[in-house]
Amino acid sequence: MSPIDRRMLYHINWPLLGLVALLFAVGVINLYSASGFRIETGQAVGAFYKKQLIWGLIGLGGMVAFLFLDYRHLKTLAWPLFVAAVLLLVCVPLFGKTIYGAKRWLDLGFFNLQPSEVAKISILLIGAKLLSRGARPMGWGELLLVLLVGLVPAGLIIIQPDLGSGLSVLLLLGGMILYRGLRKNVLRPLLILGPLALPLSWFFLHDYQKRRIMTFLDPSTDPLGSGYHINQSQIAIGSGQIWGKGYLAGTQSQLRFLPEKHTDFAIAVFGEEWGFIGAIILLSLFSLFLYQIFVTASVAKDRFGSYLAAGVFFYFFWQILINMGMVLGLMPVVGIPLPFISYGGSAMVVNLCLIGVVVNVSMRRFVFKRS
Amino acid sequence: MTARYTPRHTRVHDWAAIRLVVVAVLFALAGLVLWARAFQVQVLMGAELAARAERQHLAAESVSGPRGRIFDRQGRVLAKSVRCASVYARPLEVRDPAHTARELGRALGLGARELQARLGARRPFVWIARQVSDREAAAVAALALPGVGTVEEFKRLYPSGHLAGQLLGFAGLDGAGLEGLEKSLEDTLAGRSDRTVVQRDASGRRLLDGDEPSRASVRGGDVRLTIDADIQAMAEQAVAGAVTTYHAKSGMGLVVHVPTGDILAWAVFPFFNPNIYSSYGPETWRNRIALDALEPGSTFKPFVVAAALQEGVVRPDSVYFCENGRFEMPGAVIRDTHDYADLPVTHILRYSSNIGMAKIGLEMGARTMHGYLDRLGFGRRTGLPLAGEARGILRDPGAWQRVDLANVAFGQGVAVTALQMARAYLCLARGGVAGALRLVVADPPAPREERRVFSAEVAGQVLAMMRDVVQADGTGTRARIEGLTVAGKTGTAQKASASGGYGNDHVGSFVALLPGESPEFLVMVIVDEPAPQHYGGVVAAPAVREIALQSLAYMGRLPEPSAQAGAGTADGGLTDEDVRRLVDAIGAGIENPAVALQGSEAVPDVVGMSLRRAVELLAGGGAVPEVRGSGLVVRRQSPAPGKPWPGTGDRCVLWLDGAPDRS
Repeated sequence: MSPIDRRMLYHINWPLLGLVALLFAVGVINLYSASGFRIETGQAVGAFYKKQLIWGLIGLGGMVAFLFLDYRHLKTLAWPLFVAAVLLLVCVPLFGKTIYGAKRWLDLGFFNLQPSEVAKISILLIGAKLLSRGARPMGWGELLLVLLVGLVPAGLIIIQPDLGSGLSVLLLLGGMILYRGLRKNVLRPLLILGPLALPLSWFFLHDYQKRRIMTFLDPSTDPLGSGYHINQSQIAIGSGQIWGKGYLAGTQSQLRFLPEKHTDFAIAVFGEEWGFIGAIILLSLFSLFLYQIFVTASVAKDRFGSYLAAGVFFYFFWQILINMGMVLGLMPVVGIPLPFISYGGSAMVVNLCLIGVVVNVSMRRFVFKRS
Repeated sequence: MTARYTPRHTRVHDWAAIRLVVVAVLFALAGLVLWARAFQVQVLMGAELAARAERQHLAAESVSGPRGRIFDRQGRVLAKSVRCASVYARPLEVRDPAHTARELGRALGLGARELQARLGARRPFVWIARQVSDREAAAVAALALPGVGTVEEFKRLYPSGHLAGQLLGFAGLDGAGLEGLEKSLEDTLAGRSDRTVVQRDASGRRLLDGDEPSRASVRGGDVRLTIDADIQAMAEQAVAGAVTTYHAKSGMGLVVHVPTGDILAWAVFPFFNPNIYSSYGPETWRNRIALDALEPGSTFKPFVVAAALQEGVVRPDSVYFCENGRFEMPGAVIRDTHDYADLPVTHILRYSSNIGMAKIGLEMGARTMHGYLDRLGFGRRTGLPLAGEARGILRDPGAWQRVDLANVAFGQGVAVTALQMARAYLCLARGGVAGALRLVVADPPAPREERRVFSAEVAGQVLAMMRDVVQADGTGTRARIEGLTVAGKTGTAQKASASGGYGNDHVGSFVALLPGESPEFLVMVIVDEPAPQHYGGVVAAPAVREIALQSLAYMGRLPEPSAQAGAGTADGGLTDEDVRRLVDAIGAGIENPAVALQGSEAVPDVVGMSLRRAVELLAGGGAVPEVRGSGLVVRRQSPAPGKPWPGTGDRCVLWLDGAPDRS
């Protein structure tokens, strides 16, 4: 473990940390409103914002831990962590705890571990390790190896069922593969076969997932069932109009018309209360945030570091795009939360750990010159 | 083309640059799409979505109050609104339509299959059952079926069943008056509605911190009618009796208090029970008394005679030759039912000679006669709050031929409603002063508009002739009441057939003013298409007598037999002088006979009592007796003393000690 000197502190990506702090603050403030609801006697507020604060502190610890550990050591950790993640995922169907009809958690006594979150970090490490081996676009051999490694945990997550986490793992890996590039003889058949394979995936979807896609195409077919989410999130966001209804004054969320308002649809609460102006500001914050990660990826001094940062970039990029797209009615309802804004303990910890990895890469970019 | 050398590291750098551009473009594209969509949803669609949000969480609740009540003149409730529950469903929220339909069907006694079809409808709201009983509503609430609920509504109740049904009309399920007074008095009766905006959460709970509007403040106005429920019941019973006895199509009856013009009874048969209005047709709920304009026939004659007397065209003893029953005019032949030669005017009215009347009318002239008929209100509405009241037909005299003039003089070629007829008779009964009828007790009372049409002397002369119709050998002898004189006029009109001309159907009618010297009450009965008998003096006069007898007894206006002792006249009645004395003596009779009897559970023994006292006692207990025979003392009664009070529809009969009724 290399010591942290002043020079490292100087190279820490401070804007990134500042943006994360800002997004976290926005998230907690928004959660306070999103967990509130009007009742006959006035207003009651759920405890989600407090829990989110606690998870944030735990995540901060994880982030700091990832800062001190030189990221180059992560390369050696990649395979053991991958094996551990896969083992945990295999344990889930055997010993898992069922919540809301899905087996996603392992009960460790003091808290519920979600192995898919561990898998996200391990995929990032293993992807960066495998992809950073070369610099030129990949051929079939390399691609198949990476896909094989990625599909095992992703498949295990999807059958839990947790399509959202499985997809984000695959998209993370896909982004990294895109970042590395594919040879033309690989890219061309994929571009043709990909769209052809897409309809086939329909047969592997659960009924509720199919229904979500159908109602996305025509929400009015089931206004009180799965179309309800789409309708209500659009009503909530749209009714905020330009200036919003004001903090704690969102009627659709407070009167419980908006479903999942503190988790997947938290941004709808924000959009309702802060309006288009607020949404634009929040989008800008996310853009700057992603830009800072991307800068880190492009200035990293070794390929492994660059791929790490790029993986984290895509990890957040896809989540933000899918969640906002879903809430704004551009995509079917997929259970993918919005980083830092949606409530979710393990997601918060993992997000902050990944930020730790990125900052790690950014602050150690001059270390190599000496060594 | 020349092959160029590209060093390996340069190509790597190229790829790195391309890679950055690809990612940046992807990134920018995604950001742009999200911005654009946010703009579209929040700015372009914002207003519309905000409106949708408001519709969702703000519910404009309209709290509507109950309709006002309708009372009779003594404050007895004729129509009122009571709270009740209605069951509805939101089919989209119903989870298991088959199960829900089965459970609801059991609770409400409805067919499960039909219910299931309704629950399967892709509509946001359907009614399951309107205005169910409290027990059923509680049963539905206990089932707690998702998507099924109850809502409070007001149900219109008419506690007296068919009593004055056509007059009252009815209000629909949604509380709007649809017929009769319920419709014409809608402005007063309708419940006011108060809109409040309440917030609702997604599960429909109301979040309201302000004051709730109270129901009382939005209750519709009450209306008090001049109708007396007891007299109404007596009139209805008598009309029903006349119609059934003579196999008629329908019948009407009116009782009017002469000094005030208050309508005390308004009977139409067949009966109409507004509680179950949907099981009748418009023919039954038609308020014929105000809506049907018919040719009046002979009951019209007294007005023509009065006009001729007033104009000095005739004197009561002027004699006309009645052509021995057949009078040929250009274009028509006028006939009498009996053949008469010379008749004085008094007898023309007493025997109801058409030929005599035609000659009087011809002598008076069209304009003069029309002027009087117009002043009596024919051809004009009475102005009572009645929806669709008919105006009747009184054509312009300029268009009358001589034969028309002759026809009008005995009540043909004009069309009048029963109500107009009553108003015109009121003028004669009041000594020639025309005044308005009253149906609603106004507070404060409306100023009376009175115009003199006939002199008191003329009115008195006509009244005397009308007394002769009943008391002497006239056409209305069956309306005689022992103990007082009755003035009256029979009417037997041929009904105009659809093909023009007159058919074999008749309208028999009788109008009585009593007491005959200074009338206090007007009683009129009209029987439509009676058979085989059709003379007004036969089919309608006994019903008028029954109504008069019962209501006078009920109001304490019937002479006591003791007072009559030793005062009998040749034909068993009283002299006019005696009656006047008696009426005065009893004038302040018992006003509320019911008081003494309330709470008593069995029918009292009234045998041996005076008719007046017996009717008082029985009517006070809720049983309006039919009276059989004549005389003033009760000989027999049914139900027997000690029996429980008869329910609605059960008969209660009193037999009098006198000779059997002439009919």
